[in-house]
Amino acid sequence: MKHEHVQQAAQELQLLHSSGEGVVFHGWSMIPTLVEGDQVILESVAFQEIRPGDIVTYRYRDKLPTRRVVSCRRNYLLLWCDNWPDMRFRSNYSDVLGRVTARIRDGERLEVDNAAWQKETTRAMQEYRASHAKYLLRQTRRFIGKHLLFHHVPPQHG
Amino acid sequence: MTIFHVNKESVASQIVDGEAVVINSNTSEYFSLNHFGTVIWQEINTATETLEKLTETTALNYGIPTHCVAKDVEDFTERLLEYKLISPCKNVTSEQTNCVVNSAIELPSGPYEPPKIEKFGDLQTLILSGE
Repeated sequence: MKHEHVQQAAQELQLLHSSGEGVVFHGWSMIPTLVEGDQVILESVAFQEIRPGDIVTYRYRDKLPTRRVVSCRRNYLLLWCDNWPDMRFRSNYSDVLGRVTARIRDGERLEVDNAAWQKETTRAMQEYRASHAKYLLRQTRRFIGKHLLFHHVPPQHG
Repeated sequence: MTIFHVNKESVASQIVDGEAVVINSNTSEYFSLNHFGTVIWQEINTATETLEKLTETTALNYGIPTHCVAKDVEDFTERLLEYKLISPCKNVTSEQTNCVVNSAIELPSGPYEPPKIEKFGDLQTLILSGE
């Protein structure tokens, strides 16, 4: 087996067996749910169990992106970051390594079934829907502009 | 006769393309096993069969003297013990051993290769990234 495959498999095992202390989260893309330095607790998850609103970690090259699921499509998941409303990401179900079940921040542990986390999830999903509605509106305007309003009509010569 | 068990509190494994990858979170080391090593690992992990029975089946299957395979298996389990991946479980009598039912040991195809374990460097600190 190639070394990189062994390394990747070891990394995945490490990820799913780190339940005690969690794994460090890096970056500002998931503020306020996850912030730089949070310890994130993950569990393995069957793809049928993934729901919009869940935060999952998936395999992408040599990175472990951790983002919110906003839609479960037939062949892939649509993901976004709470703090980057204009960006969308995709992941195959097979690349999902785990689902976030809790975070530890400043020594305090917050579980996903806690009311505070649930509230944050609801707010994030509402924000996503609003952002998605704006996106659809922009697309519709673009379509109208391109195909209806500026449709070229050749001048009539008498 | 010694039976082993995997130190499940600190050790985790998964099979990739028929070969096991094993991590030890206590020592932060990770390992890969070859095909026959993986068969032995699975037998220890599921505890469905004694290693003696596995040795006999392997020797018979590949037409190799039993003592040769037994030596390979012994060396291999010594390495697993050395890396603290397994521990001796208990001593059982031959009578008890006979009670163990052999479901189906799936041996690797191709020529016999002694079980091997390869140790890699230390596990690195994982970082989840939103970016």
